[in-house]
This record gives sequence, structure tokens and C-alpha cells, in this order.
Amino acid sequence: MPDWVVHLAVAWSVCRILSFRYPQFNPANTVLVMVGSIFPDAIKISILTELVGYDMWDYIYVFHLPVGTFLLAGIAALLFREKKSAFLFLSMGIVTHYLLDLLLIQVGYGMALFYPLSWTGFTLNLVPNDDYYITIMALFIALIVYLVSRQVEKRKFNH
Amino acid sequence: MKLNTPLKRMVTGLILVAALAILCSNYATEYEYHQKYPSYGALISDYPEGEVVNVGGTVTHIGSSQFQILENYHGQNINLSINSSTPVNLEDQVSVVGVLGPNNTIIQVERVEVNEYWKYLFLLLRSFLAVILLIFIFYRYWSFDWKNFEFRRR
Repeated sequence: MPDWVVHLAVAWSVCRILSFRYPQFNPANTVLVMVGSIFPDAIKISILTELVGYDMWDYIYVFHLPVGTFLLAGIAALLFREKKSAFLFLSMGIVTHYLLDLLLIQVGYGMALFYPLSWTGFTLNLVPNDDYYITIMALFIALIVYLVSRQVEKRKFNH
Repeated sequence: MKLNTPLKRMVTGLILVAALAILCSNYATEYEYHQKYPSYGALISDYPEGEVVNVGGTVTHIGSSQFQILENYHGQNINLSINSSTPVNLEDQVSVVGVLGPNNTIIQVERVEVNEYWKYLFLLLRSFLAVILLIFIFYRYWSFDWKNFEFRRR
């Protein structure tokens, strides 16, 4: 997806909606989902290395493929006391990232979602890379979710 | 396996890092053979003239009926001319699918995607602000226990 605002807003909105039914989606776990939602973009380290003249994109592109990102999540989960739940919530964020990235226009080929089993690229070719209307839309949806969830909580409290 | 001792965690971490490194190495050496269209690697080694290729880069020069792009491919700067009247500006990021002609020229563009430079900078800015906010929220709910080297809920 174009930017991290969209990834974070969508991850937060999904968790907020799920929290009505599943208490596991508390604020702390929601933050983990949000962190997971930008995990695949660890590949963006390459932007920094490019500034000093090193082209790293191809060498760490696996970070932006599900297999690599789940491995990264596994490594990160080792730094949590509740490793299994940390891994699961990070993974959920990772899934939201790839679902959103599927919408991106990719000239030539898409993401090899099933690498290393298959090199077939997937993309829906719907949204340009630098589009900011989708950012506004994601923030608007998050705001609606926030307002509705506050109303629901108020009603629960009054009952 | 319960990962309750630092040694077990370290060993598991090393195994995962090794698996990631193997995959990174495999992807970097293999991906060009599995792409839909040849790209810079093939351009350097075989120069597939007359074939459809997929290239991208930063716009460095704009002419009346063509523009030039520059790509740093594994430390090697490659200039390409694109015969296209697609409106572009200097510094824009362009991705092109088209027929490769002589002298590093794409003579027939089949598909082109232009990402404007200012939009790219704006994207970086808002992403940077978003990650700052995320770090702040993260430390509101999680703290790092240096003794056990792990994050705990606050």
C-alpha cells in the first residue's frame, strides 16, 4: 500500500472491530498487529542503503514476501515474554499488509506470495503506488470505526 | 519446545536468521529467471534486443518524444532512453514494459507507470510521522525488561 498510515489505520480498524467480540484484541495486542502490518516494509531499509550507494533491494526482497516476513515475525516474537501470542498478532498484521499490497499497480509482475514454492506474481493492479486518496479514505474509515466504537462502549457502560 | 532460557531463544533466533539468509540468497540469484519479462540482469548479460523487457528508474532527461531513466543496478549505473510521450518530470520514478531496441532504448512502450517525485517525498514524510506515532503507542503498552531481554505488557 502507498504508505504506513494506511497499513496502520487498517490494522487498527480491523482490531477495533474484532475487539467487540474478542477481548484478546486489547490495546497492547492491537499495537502488535499494527507493528506486524508494517513488518514487510522492513525492505525499505534499502532506501537508506541506496543513499550511501548500495543497491540492496534484490538481496533483502524476501523481507517483502510472506515467507520472509513470517520468519522476521518469528525472530521478533523471541523478544516477547508471550512469544506465541506475539507471533500470532504480528502475523495478523502481516496478513493485512499483503492484502492491501495486492491492490497496488505493479507493472510487469506482482508479488510472489507463495515463494519459494511458486514464483507466480499476484497483483490486482488497482491503486497507484503513490496514491494519497487511499490514505485519506483509510483515515476516514478509522475515524468512523473510532466514533462508532465509542458509542457502543458508552451504551455498554450505561447498561 | 519451550523457549524459556536465553540459550534456547538464541539458538532458535540463529536458526531463523540462517533460514532467512538462505532464502534471501536464493531469491537474489534466482528471481531474474522467473520474472515475466527480462530486466537489467538480462540487459547486461544478453541484451535481448527485440524482446519485451521490464525496466524502471529515475527520470534524468526529458526530450520531445523520449525521456531518459537512470537505474543503479547492483552498483552499476544504467541509462536507458524511453521512446514515449508520456508526461514525466525530472526525478520521477518510472516503470516501463516495452520492446528493447538498440543502444539501450525502449522503442515501443507497452505499459508505463509514473510515480511523481513530490508524491514520493510526501509518502516518505507521512510514513515517517506514522512510525514515530507507532513507536510512541508501542511503548505505552509494552516495556522492555533488560534483565530478561524481553518485552512485557505494562
